[in-house]
Amino acid sequence: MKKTQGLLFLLILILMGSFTTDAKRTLPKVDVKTLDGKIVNTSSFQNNGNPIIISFWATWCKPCVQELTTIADVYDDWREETGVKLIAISVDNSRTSGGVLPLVNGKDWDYEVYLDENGDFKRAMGVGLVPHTFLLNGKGEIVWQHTSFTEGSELELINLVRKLKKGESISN
Amino acid sequence: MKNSLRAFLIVAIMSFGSKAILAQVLGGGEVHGSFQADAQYYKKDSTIGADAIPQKMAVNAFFEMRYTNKNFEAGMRYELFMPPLQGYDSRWKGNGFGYRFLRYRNKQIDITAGNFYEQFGTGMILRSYQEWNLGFDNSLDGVRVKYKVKGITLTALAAKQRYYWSLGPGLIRGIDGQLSVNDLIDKWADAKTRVFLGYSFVSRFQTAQDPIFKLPENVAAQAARIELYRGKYNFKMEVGTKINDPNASNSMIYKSGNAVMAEFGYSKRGLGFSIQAERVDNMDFRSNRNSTGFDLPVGYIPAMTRQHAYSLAAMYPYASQANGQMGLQTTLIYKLKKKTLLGGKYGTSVNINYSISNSINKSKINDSTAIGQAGTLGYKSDFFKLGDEKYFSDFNIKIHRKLSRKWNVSLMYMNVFYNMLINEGHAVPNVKANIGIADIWWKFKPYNSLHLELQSLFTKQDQGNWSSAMLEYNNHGFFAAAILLYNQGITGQYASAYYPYATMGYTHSATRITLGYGRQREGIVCVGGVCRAVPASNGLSLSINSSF
Repeated sequence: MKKTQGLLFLLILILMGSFTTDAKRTLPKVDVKTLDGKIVNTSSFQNNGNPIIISFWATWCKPCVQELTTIADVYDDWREETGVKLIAISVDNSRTSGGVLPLVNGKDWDYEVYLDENGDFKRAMGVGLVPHTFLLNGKGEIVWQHTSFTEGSELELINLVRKLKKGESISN
Repeated sequence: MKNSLRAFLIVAIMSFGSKAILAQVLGGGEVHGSFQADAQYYKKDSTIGADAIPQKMAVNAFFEMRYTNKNFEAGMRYELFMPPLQGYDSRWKGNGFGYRFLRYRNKQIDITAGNFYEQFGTGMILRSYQEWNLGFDNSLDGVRVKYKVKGITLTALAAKQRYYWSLGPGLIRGIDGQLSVNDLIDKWADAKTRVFLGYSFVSRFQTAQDPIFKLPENVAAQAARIELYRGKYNFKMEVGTKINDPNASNSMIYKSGNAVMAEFGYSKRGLGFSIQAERVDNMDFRSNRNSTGFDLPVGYIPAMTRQHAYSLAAMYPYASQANGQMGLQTTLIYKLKKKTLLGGKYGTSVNINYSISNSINKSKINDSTAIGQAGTLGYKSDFFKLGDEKYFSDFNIKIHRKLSRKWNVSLMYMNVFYNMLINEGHAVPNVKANIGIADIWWKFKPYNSLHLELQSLFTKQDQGNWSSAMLEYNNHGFFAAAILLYNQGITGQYASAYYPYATMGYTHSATRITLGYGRQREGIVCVGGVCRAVPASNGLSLSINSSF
């Protein structure tokens, strides 16, 4: 075990050494599943040069469902105004993932929804607690992230999308 | 330790000295990760089973980091339990790198060495996963290769399973193939019906030196699955079997195991319906035949019940019985249209769910052998016959309505049946409970809101009636909440008890800090805009989460 620890220290340092801050963060390449069974790689997410919101959620997570329900009410206006697209990533495991499609349709949500059943995408994005929301600019670079949802969070989100749309740079 | 220290110094000098060279070789890479720490200062409290600990304070923490550069990825997680928070297995005590891996992938091939998480199909015969807040991690430590070609994904792996700070004794070998039928032939690509097929095979090797029984050293399990999608309809099914595997959880019987899970769904805009059924017989599959409880599961047999997010609704959760259960679950979600009499101005969402789980039928294999007798075939089971013992049932209905721009209301009713012996391992009486919940949001300014949550649970069994009230205030990223949980108790059996708890926190982008004080029951807590599982505690707690 000690030996592995030593090796790991080595690895950490190499990583630190190579860490370049000017590189913009992009989406990792992870396979997720559509609600009709297709495997899609997350690197193919795109929105014709417009911003993308990626929201990690689960059927059992109240604030997540609240966030997506709140945004659903204004989503048509958001899209019309900014061209933004919301991609909802369900982290439900095989116990509850069967409930994702009925919930999405039953709530009449108009999002692109994917299943991340065993949390591969969630881990690759460093998501701990849900809801966790990422904002991508038109070039597909991750420019902002946020965890938790409370009333009003959606207003901050759309304000950031508007800034992106105007070409202003944003960061956390 | 001396060696690693020396390596540390050498590499430190080397890497900083030659940073420019390294940056050139590894340039363009990205480092990301996450961090969580939970610290709890304990006050002695016998009512909730939280004792004062000699260390006074317990800390669970992890720091995970990932490095990606083009097709290459490496990652690790440092974990610390000093000592573990109460409610977590004491075998977690310690600190070190609990997870590390190297990975290379391109469009066709994906190779991982080290720790990884994997799931075949629904996970019936293989699923490794991690739930940090529940203290669960059965990651596989070994090698995994995935190969993708036109509609086909093949996965092969050989590994041992993580067992707290060591590895389980069993060697796990597995293969899985997933086929997207429509992608095979161009003509089928746009067909209305989409078909997926899958097959997996998993084998566990563990030496056998039992003095009484001759045990199989290699235990094989296999599963086949199908998924069909056509318009508004979908159908999924998985069937699995396992050869004889006498083990501690099935009291050493030689019966082979099998499991069937099926799901049918119909959904369109404004309406979602699904029905699921499962039958599981002797399918507890672990990488150590002597393990029980949460130790070393290889297969994952989920509880087919709703996972509740209100603390009292989640008080009696079903524990899935991998060695025998027959269950059914159905869900209907419906949106009453906007601007109608029933739907109101903004529409109303109705969510109805019912689940039931029973024992499977069991009969003697012959007159002289008792059911489940060690060293025998155990029992016979009629596949279509329901057993006579009810394990669990849950009927719940939830209505959500946005009353105006400022007011939101959710109401929920739930009726639950909970078999004490099966779910908690101690004697009757079984619990029958009715639960009512009102959840009210008042958004009085664009970024300011008050949230009131009232819950009541009524039962004549176990610890009797419970009620809970929570008032929460949110302002931008700041929140403060007070929770009062009250157990009325049962005269002569359980004394009444109060659980007052106050918490506040602040979230800035992906960093969140919360502070809490008081008495908390274990379970799920949704406050300040996130949901998480918490252990029982009394005292002061501090949590920090961050992603970068």
